[in-house]
Amino acid sequence: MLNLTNPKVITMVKLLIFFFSFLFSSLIFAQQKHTISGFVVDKETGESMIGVNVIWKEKFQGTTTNTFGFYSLTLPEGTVEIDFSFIGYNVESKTLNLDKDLSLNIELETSAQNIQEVTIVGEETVVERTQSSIVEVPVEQIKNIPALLGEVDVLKAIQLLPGVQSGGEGSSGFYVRGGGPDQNLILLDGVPVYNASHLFGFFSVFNADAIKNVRLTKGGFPSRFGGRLSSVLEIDMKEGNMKEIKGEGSLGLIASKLTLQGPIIKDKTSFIISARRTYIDLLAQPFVRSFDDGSQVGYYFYDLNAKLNHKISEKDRLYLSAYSGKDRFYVNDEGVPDEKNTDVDYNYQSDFGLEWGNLTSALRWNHLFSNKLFSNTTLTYTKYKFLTEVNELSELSYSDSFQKDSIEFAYYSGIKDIGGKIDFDYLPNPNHYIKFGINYAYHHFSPGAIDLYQKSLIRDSQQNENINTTDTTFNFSKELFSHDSFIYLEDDIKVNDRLKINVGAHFSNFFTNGKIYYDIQPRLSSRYILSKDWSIKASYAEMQQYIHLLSNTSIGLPIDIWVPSTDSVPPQQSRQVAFSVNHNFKEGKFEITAEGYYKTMTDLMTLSPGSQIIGFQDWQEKVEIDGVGRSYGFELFFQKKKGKTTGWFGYTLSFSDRKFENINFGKWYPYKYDRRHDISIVATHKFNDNFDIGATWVFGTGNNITLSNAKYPQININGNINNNLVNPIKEVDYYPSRNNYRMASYHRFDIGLNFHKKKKWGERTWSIGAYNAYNRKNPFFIRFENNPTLVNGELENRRVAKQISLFPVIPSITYKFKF
Amino acid sequence: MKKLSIVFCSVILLISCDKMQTVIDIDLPPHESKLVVNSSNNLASPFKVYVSHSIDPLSNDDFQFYSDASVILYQNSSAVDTLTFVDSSYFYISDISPQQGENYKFIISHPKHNTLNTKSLIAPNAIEIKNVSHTTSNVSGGSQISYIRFDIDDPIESNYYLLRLRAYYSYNTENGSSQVDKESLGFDSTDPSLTNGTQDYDDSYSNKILFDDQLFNGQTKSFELSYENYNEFYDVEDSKIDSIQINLHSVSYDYFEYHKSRVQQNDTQGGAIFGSEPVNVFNSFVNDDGTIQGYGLYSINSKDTFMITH
Repeated sequence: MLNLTNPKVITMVKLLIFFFSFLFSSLIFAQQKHTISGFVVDKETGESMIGVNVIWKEKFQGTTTNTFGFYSLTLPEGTVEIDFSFIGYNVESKTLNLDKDLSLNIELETSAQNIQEVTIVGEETVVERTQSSIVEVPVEQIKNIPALLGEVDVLKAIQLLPGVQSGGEGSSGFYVRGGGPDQNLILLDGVPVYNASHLFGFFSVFNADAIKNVRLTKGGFPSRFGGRLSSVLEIDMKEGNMKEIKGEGSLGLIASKLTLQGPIIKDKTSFIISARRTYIDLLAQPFVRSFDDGSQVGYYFYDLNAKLNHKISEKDRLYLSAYSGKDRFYVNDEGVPDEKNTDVDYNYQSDFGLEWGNLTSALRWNHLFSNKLFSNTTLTYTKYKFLTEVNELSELSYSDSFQKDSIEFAYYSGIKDIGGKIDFDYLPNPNHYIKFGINYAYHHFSPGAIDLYQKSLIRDSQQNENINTTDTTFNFSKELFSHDSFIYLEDDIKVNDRLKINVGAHFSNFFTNGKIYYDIQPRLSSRYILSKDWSIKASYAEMQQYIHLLSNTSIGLPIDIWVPSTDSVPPQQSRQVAFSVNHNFKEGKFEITAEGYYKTMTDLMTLSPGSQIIGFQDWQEKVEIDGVGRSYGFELFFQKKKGKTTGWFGYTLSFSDRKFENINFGKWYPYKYDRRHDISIVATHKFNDNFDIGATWVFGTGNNITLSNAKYPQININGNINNNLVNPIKEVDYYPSRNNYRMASYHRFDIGLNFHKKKKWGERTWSIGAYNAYNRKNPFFIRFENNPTLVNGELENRRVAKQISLFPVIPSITYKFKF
Repeated sequence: MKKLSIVFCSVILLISCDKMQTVIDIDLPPHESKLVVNSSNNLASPFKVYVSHSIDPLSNDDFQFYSDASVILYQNSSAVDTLTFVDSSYFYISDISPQQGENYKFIISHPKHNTLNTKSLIAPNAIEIKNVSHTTSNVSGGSQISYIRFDIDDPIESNYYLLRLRAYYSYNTENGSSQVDKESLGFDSTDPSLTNGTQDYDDSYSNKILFDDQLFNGQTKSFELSYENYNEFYDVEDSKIDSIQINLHSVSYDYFEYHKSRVQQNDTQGGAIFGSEPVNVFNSFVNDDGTIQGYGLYSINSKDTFMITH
């Protein structure tokens, strides 16, 4: 039950009263008005366009298209001139005699003037937008950023934005404003993706060829978002070309990709299918085989994205999208019969496999209830599974006897969700953009179990058979099921020509094993325009997170386990305030944002020191709860959005600390990714139609690491100290505090050159590049070890600190094609 | 442009073969050496104390055991013995053995360090092993599994235990005489108190489990252990197990936490590549305000045993 004396509830009630009275007054005093609504699509491909400005020129009032390209604008009766604009496209102007509601679908054409240029962001400028702490990076820009081994990576492009940090060298995990990797909600077409990395984090699961749009929210969260403390990363898949069949692909050093898209029924139904697979295993197979007769060792990952898009009517549209990706490491071995001993016939086969992967799917139905009310109904399914399998089979025949043994062992963990949601966009007049909706997900958590099947058959010379079978499952932690739901309401209110506010509330509810949690989270963002090119913004958001990631490493490994809040593990919470100053100049060519934030986190959870994810103990017995965190900083983001040269400069000054009762003697300690300074410079330059170049330079203060400052002899369990040649003295390392040493700074320069050529069948591109071009030995970790050193002509085993680096300069070459 | 690209790629390929480990200087605060005292004692065995000192983690020096320290034993606040150094074993030994219910502490001093006062410890009661039974059954392949069941009455306060089995076995030597020997015996159990316990795989006598009474505090607890019966024990030809000894040690909180965290620290060594956090080993010599007097372990434990004849 709601506690009406709770200050949070009182604040919420006040906000809602304000919101409804404002909405009511603006409706009462409205003069005769009519609504223009419709969808905006790309003329060439038929893809719906997100964030297109729809402006009533006379008053410079307007709106933007939503994720599905829908807009609605209610204006006074009479002749109105409307501009539809998006950077990189010709402005489409329409003069309309508005004497009734109108439905108007628009096709925008790529601007001939801008063909020579690369554009970065197309929607309303950072000065105009109400929401702060949000960044969009067009996929075309991401594709021009040089990448490790030439594999274009969405998450690594995100890491180049201010306020976002990478984990370790090469890792695709990201940390937003001092938050952990599990505090980022990654949505692919609205479906959560629980493990977004391949190859232990070196590549992300998102295939850039299948992606239309990437949008990151770091703070000032609108009330439609919830469930994570630090960020929401929305990735929208392409819908498929409605006009003609198109294809693109690439052949790289480690992987190849192919994407096909096109109409099934022109302008009505389209599809896109995109696949990527690594082939290290296939290339290495002949060499690996030569080491050991019959054995096979390999690793690969693949991704498959597919989407169908069907216009049922002008008011209804259906999308069906799916993603499947898997990593697999395998060792297959076969025993070799002893040719000398013909009396014995022995066969042996062993298969070891380590695999993990995601499966997501979404069925979305857009429906226009009226020209002011748009709805999107989504059914979702998502699954992440980690599996280790060992299968062994042996057969032994000797004289008249026979023995056959088989063992099948499997360890698995994972999470599975089935969910549904309905979101509404209601645009009663140009002063309000109301969003509301309801969301439900059913989580099935498998925090780790072993299946063991063992069968032994012995047949003696008298043909007597003895069969023994074991078939059992060990659940280290019992499977858990949760109901996770929320409702939300938000309104983007234009108070006057200068002030806009986005106010809303998010009411969430979580139920596991008889324990219910609920929470009301107020959200508020505001923007005040100081002049045409200047604005200031402020935001406040409370977030609550009911599911958590158990990780030994904090870098995101496939064995990490998702677990729910239970009666003994409360949900994590955060509160964040942010304030920004925004400026654009040279007719929107340049944008600059300076933003400060302060975030507190409570009820944080982490594995207890020394605990292992895989073990017989229930996970709830090996976690530390009631942790607190604080994070604050300043971000500067300077973008050049138009012209032959585009790119950005990002700088972050940040502080992030944690405190747990049983860690670091209960004192505050710096978070592992507490990075004081973080700089990224991204630039692309298009020389002509045939040649362009992309470069990035990144700098970050070194990560924190825990190092010992003393060592001493350890006593064994029998109360003795071994001190002899066979059993030398073992040592204990003493760590004075968590994360007490900061490693050397990280910096790196990447460059990529793209050579394009038009062909009869389309276009081909050769991309060559270098990751870490000046071969900086960036620290990955430090360890103390004995190092043989020549001292005065004699070899001494000297104790030294060694810094391990991961990637030297890595060249890449990729062949890309489009038709 | 083609030539330039080839040169560019060749240079990059050459550099990319570079070694990626670098010896670096670490700028940590200078190490302040402290006394290290390790004294893990059992009822009815003379007190034993190792005295050494901590060294810098990057030091190449061997650990040194002090022979010139003053180690004074106090019983119920009165000095009762000054321990003597045993050269061959590197420890100080007392003439006195801890007695049940008595209160003991040490004051250890050395000219190079501040004097270290241990806390006062009362030697704990041994917990009796009761209702012991032993059965054997045949399993496939001709081998045998033996089961040992026994009970204990766990006292109401938090208790910590170390459980181990010891096998006494006999065999014939080359000259035909019969020889009896003993060895730690590995065992299995599905009891959660034991499976959640700590096993030290690094220790050469690893068949021991350290566990606490969280799941049975203040109750009568039944244990079931199993072990495989081999015809040839520890590869000793024609050997056979004559008897099994159950050893149940009641250990102090410090002993339990020290060895649990020591095993965890050993297990997390080398985990740095995946970023797992190192674990600090429990220290008996931390003041209430968190300042560190020295490093090490001071404990007094007791033991009950039960012999099963095969």
